[in-house]
Amino acid sequence: MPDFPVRLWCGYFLGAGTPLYLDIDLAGNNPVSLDPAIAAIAAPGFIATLDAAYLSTACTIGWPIRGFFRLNFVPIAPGAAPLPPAFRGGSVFGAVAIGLAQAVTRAEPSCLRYAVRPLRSVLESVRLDHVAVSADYAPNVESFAPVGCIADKLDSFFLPSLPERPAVCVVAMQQDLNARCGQAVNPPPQMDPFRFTPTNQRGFLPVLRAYDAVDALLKLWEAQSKTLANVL
Amino acid sequence: MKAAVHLVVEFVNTALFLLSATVYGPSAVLATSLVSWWFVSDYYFARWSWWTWWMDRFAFMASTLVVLLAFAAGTRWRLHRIARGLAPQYEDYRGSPASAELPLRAWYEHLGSIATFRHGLWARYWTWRQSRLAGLSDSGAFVDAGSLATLWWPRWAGIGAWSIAALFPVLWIVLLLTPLHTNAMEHVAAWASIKDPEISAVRCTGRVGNPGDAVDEPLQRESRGFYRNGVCLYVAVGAFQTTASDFPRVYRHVVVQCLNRCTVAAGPGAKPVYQLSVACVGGKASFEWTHPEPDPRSGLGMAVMVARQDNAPLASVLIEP
Repeated sequence: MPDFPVRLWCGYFLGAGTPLYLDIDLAGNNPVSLDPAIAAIAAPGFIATLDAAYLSTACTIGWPIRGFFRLNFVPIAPGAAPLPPAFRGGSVFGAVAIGLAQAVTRAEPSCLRYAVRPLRSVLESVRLDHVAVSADYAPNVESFAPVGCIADKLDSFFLPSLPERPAVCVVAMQQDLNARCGQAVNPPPQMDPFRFTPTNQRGFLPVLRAYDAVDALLKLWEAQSKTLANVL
Repeated sequence: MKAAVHLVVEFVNTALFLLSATVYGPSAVLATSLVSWWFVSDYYFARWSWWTWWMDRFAFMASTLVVLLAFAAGTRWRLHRIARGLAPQYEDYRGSPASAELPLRAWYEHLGSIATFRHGLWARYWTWRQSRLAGLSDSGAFVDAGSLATLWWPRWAGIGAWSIAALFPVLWIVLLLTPLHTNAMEHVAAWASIKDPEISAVRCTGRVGNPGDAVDEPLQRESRGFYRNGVCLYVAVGAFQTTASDFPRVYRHVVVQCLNRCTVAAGPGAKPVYQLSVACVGGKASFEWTHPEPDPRSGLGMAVMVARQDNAPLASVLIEP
């Protein structure tokens, strides 16, 4: 399993839900930089979200002395859901924070803060490539906050043209799964807080509620341990 | 094929866990080894037609392996049942959890996490699996889930488990080298018995006349021995079935001796003999005899003795002395 890029899923909404891969690679000259194509269409608010994720990661996890990470957002189904014309808002905070936590641990485990050092194996080894994250930043409590338009974002993971679906979606603890911005025909009411049913009714998406990046990683780790207990 | 190998590996690991990390595992194997060895050594198995000598030697190992296998199967079933109940709602390792590749230290942490999900046997098993990895030095090496189970087998980390498991083959070799049929049970039975062993009944079977009416009647017991008193008196070639005390159900034998006026058949087509030893299973023994002159006035003159495996006599009677 290669260490880099660290890849996870995120949903973005600007007029229409867009499923994206977030790739975090070791590159660039700044602690956190964006791929030039994304940087060209990123709004200042979006850059501020990335900075918040960087600071949050540096404060809770640690940061390598020469830790330069480049973020890229790649459309999963370019034909059906191409890259949005602009990047705004803060709903990718959760994905960036979780991805950076793993990237930092993989890049330089010795830089981990004392409190999270026992979690090294968890942070570096949790499988994220089938995990979607949609969570904003709550600066006053340094944790995940609910995002808007979540139903549109999660609906985008059920586009028929997608080669696969995420296994689970991480959201904030207080996230209301019914929040919708776009138009949808007879959207199903989301009654189960741990399961999202898409508008096209093609299956469901398990929902993992977490307080912050470390909490999400630990919960994912526990779930993966349970899966592995069945095959070991 | 891969699934079969996986199953065998899991059984070996479970057996090693039972033997090296639990009390009841080695206790059950030790008890089964000793009891079944003692059974074949002193009680003996019935001499069925398909039973051959080497079965007496090795049956105790087979029964021990069956017990160990049953314990391992039961343990695996319990672990499997718990694991199925733990399966999460979502599957992050979709498609390939069995081929997941992680650093050794991550596996160590995963096994530690798994051990915390339940108490009791589950926790002990996974803690044991985790501790097998603790002794491996290359903690950063990437290992896939499939090879995790056997990774520690040829390393120092496995020495303890293998050593304890190896004690049982050593015990088996010792038991194999120990002489069988020690008569210890005979001594115990003689010490514990209220009644002395005896030959309590003799039954006569055969044919008389031409074409030959079947005869099946008991011999009459008198102070000097057993006597034929019915149609059996006229039987020239017959058989006796003796009934002796049948506890303990050990493999004794009956020694038949024709003193002067009869012979006994050593087997089909064999030359008649004057002395014969026949198996006594469950207290019963049968042998054929020939009386050259079926004259009621001339008795058979036969002595029958029940003896232990070492030929020590237990009881004897005379038939028409």
